[in-house]
Amino acid sequence: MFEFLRPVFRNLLRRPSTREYPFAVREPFRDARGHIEGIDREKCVFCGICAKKCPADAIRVDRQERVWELDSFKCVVCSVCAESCPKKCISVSPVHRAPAGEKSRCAIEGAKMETPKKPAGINKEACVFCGICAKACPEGAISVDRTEKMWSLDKEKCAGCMACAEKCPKKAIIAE
Amino acid sequence: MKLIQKAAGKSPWIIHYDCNSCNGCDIEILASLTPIYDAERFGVVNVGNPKHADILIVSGSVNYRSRRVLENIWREMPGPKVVIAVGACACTGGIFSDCYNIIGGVDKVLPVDIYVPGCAPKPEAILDAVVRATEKLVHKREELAARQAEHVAKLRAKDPKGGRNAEKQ
Repeated sequence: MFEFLRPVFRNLLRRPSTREYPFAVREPFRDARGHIEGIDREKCVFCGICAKKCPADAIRVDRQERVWELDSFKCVVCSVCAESCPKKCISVSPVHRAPAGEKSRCAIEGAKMETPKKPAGINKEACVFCGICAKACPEGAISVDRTEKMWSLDKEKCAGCMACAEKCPKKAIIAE
Repeated sequence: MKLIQKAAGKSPWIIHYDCNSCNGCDIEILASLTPIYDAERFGVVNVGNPKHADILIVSGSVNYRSRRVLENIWREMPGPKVVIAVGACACTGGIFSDCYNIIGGVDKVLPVDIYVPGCAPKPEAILDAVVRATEKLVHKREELAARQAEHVAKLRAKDPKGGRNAEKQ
């Protein structure tokens, strides 16, 4: 008899299941993607790979003006930019971005740095002319001809991100 | 009158409209209304009738079909009202902003008061937005009351015996 009293008393004594959010904030989960904080302006070479990979078209990179700009309200926080960055200079915070009354942009101006390192050439014995470097190049500065065994670099176009050297399976690209 | 003003700020009712969303944001909005996050602690009640609502929560980008419905809901709401855009799509159009049928974010159609970024935003972010919206609603109500009082004072100055006073005499 009075079976129902047991859950009644249990519910009376138990703490409420509601999370008291604004008063008690939980720690974010491990590897959570909250928002893109910005770039390390010392490390960034403004190659623009992040802008090309961004599925939401939220990033704009100007190589001449050395400006990196993120539309934080268009960003879907997939963190593809951070993963594809050859310099690993984009930081992702696990805390979510707070709601705002106005849409703001996160614009970071680059530090004046010395001319970035560019690939000087290839180790002809190691290179197999696979063309992976040409595909990895964000500026399309590398052209590879497999049949002619030709590798050439347009130094004007090259941003100096060294993504080619990183992607090369034979590690045949020599830095300046 | 002041009591009503204050009480209204303590219980803003919301209406939720899924404009063109993928349902990710909608699930988070409903999660923030469940007992775990419990937005009703702030006096919020999710209603189905725009005539009862003070806050409009929109998820998803606006397309040519949903634009009319969205504007209709907004027009049916009594003023003052607050619009919250939840998610990257509602803020700017998100990954769909270049699609042929998309107008853009909610702010292309309605005046948006609070933007919640994220894809999808966390329920915590939506709770933050709701709290900010209540503050904004109280502020808008006060502004409206002040404007009304100013208007009445102007009419009185023009015609001291006009209006309600004339009826009484």
